[in-house]
Amino acid sequence: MTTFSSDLTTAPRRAFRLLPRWQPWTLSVCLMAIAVAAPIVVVFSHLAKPNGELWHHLATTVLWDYIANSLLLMIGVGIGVVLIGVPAAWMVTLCRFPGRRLFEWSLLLPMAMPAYVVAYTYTGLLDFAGPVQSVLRNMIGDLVPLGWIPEIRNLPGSILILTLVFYPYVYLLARTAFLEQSSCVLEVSRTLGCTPWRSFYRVALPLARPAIVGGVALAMMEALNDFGTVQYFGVDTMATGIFRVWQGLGDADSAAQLAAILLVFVFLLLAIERWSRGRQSFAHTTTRYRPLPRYQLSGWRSAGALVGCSLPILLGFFVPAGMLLGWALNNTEYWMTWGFLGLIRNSFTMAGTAAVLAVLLAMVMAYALRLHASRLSNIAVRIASIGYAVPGTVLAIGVLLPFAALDHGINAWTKAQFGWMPGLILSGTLVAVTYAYLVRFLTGSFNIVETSLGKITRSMDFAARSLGRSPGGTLVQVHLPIMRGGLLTAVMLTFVEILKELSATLVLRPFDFDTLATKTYDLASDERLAEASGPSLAIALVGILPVILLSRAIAKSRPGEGEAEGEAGDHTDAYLPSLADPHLTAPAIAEK
Amino acid sequence: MTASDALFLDRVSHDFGKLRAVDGVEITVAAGEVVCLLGPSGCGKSTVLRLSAGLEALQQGRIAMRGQIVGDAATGRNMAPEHRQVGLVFQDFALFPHLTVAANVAFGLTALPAGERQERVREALAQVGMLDYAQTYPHALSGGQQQRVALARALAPRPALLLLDEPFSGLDARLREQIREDTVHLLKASGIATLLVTHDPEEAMFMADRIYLMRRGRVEQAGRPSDIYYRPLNAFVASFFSVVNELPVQVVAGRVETPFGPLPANGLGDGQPAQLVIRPEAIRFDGPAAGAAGAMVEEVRFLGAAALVRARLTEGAHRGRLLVARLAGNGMPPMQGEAVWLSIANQGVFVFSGA
Repeated sequence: MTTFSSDLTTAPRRAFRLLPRWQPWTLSVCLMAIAVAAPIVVVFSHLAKPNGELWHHLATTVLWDYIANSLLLMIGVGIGVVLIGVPAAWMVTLCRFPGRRLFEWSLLLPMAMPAYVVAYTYTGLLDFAGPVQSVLRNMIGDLVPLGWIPEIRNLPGSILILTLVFYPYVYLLARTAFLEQSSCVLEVSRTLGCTPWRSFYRVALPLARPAIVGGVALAMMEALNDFGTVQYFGVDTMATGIFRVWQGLGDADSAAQLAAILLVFVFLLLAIERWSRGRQSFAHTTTRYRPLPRYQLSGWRSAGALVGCSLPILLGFFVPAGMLLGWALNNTEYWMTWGFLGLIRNSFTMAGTAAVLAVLLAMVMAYALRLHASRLSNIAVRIASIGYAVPGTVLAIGVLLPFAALDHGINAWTKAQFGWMPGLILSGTLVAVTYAYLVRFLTGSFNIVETSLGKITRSMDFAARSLGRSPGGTLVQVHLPIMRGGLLTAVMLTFVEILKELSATLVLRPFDFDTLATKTYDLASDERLAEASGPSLAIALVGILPVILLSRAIAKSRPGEGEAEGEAGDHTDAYLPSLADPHLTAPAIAEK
Repeated sequence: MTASDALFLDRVSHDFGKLRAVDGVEITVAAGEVVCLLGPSGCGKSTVLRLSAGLEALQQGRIAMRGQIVGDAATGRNMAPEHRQVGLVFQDFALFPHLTVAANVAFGLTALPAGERQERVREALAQVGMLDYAQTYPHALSGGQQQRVALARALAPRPALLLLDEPFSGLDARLREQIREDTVHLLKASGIATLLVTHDPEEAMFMADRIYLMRRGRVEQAGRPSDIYYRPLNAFVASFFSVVNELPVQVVAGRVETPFGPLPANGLGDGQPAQLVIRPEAIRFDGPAAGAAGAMVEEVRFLGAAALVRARLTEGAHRGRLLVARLAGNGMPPMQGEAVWLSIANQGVFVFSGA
């Protein structure tokens, strides 16, 4: 079979080229790579700075608590998401029990709400005036023993909340991995004498392991990134530490040093995740699929599966959503206001602008790879799509420090030259926030854009050219119509992610500029939980959109049960950064 | 080159990095002719096709179409693919998924006024028997139907040259034969010059007026299918079309000694290493006679119209060598363990130099 390489015409592949050709596509992706790497480099550069007095103080007091809490949180969430995600994926893909099809997509529902929203709804649920204590008081009178009420605002509570919100990563990846295993492989293991359970442990699980590891690494990255939950629960982690040292104590250098340590952990996870991605391609043993034979569960097993699948959905989605709805309906006066509309306008314009920009940049990256693949552009794209791993607080520091320095420099210069100062141009403006969003969310939109561009085969390009279209005509008449669904999906998903983002927004936003996320955080921090329900419900409603898309994709794209024709559906899997790897799909040379 | 040749490649070479993919190739496709580029994968045949279409920048040599130079490495002339008036059909058919069958076929007809365009689309679809599917989207078509639409799309603008890149290998075996036959009839009926790339010798022989057999970027032999089959220039060409028996032989006094008696040495000098190549169907079971070699039948595979017989020579210098014979026609094949006499036909036996 002949595969058309993406670029045989102009870039003969060599192992090493001394002088890169500064071709416009390559140049653009290189600039993007530099822009994405800059905050990371800035943060790491602080490791080389001499330690200040405050740092010494930190190291002797709370630093080790920060590190220990972050590690415990990460490990706890890692274990939690495996315990929920893997069995759930196994049950819905390889067993048959009542409600299986419903669970297949509804297990994704907890992705709709950001962790910090779930965190404060649980606080409200369990506090003195909350429904749980009220019901208990009604049942057994005023003397509810203290130990009866579980304390949620601590480390185990944070682990529980983050597990509930992030297990869908593992579920989604493990489910795909189980689905992609050939039913033949499982049947062979049965004929070789394995029981269903032994087949699971000896064949299905090892084959799915790389995907599971990838999902866990992602969930752990998100756990390290989390700021809202741990801050609200008063758990001192690296993420909150950075925030406190900087905002509270005003020591940017120490904050950056803390951030650098956090980045080291993140990059370890990133390495694991990348490794697992490389391994996933080996698990595809066949391209021939048949509908998977499912084991019929009956009796107590069936009931167990039912409970096992509903519990995470109930706890991760319906309980917090119910709390939010209840608060919002009972306290309409808090959010049926002009101020609330302003919040929505702020959030939507900011997230919308950044999402469109992110997708445009993602298109530049995808086309650079398609039209002028070279070693250099490959590396540049790899760097430019690393941002999803960088925690929001770290990113905020990495953006603000150089921007502040730049502003300072500009003002000093204009003052010297013209005796006039323009004020803050970059830091503390929407420019800084947008830049941070682009760095962090470019990965997701790039993966989707690249996936949809990959559907347009090289021979379609050639067919269009031979039928009389110029390259521009091919773009407009072939590429854009085919990619339209993917591009819209990319904009939408990026929009939602930005809307939910808290920590970077909190730090980088202009003075007095509130979004739905920051308002939720502010109100919840002041224990005005009912008032926070308005903005959080708005976030949750928008957050449902990707879940709908993903579940549509799930319903349509069962291997062996017909290919997906979905416009939007089949791009969404790519939104998990690990599901579509640009570097595994790197062009292969034809006609060696 | 004549002005009427649909395509002429003049000493064309092409490198991918350090790899020479095409090496001094000269190819002509006359008007109305169906020419096959045949060769193992990686021999450079697809690159030749892509160079002809203008999808690959010409590095060395010249390309002319109907007497007009469309590419010349020396002057840097390289006509864009959209101006070359070539039709292309790909292995994966490359139908545009967002357009209906009719819109796919109309894609190359923008220069025509609307009424004429519709008429042309109808005509092209009728030609391939797909008129009923005009409003269908490609994903709802079978592989064979997609192939026919791809062909109609390529033919609709009435190109000067049709380029087909492994157009049948995406189809399953039974369908392939039918589509292949339909296609060759269609090509002949429309009288379009065609260059077809394939790795399947049977397909090439079936489709082609002439075949260019390529290996490692070079043309090993060109000619009519029967010429190449019965007059191969070397062992590679001979063995590309079927399984063959190869025996090392000695040249003595202008002749080679074979188990079936001496044969002319094809101009090879005495003592030079030589190779005897016998096609399986050139071996006969004629009974004892001059030039017959004794052998023992080891295995018989009955195929219906023919039988494959493996027999081991039991005498002479090549004693113990296993030969494969393809026995066609009527009558029972020999039995396993039977002693037989093998002799050779005039056609299908070749002597080449080499080890």
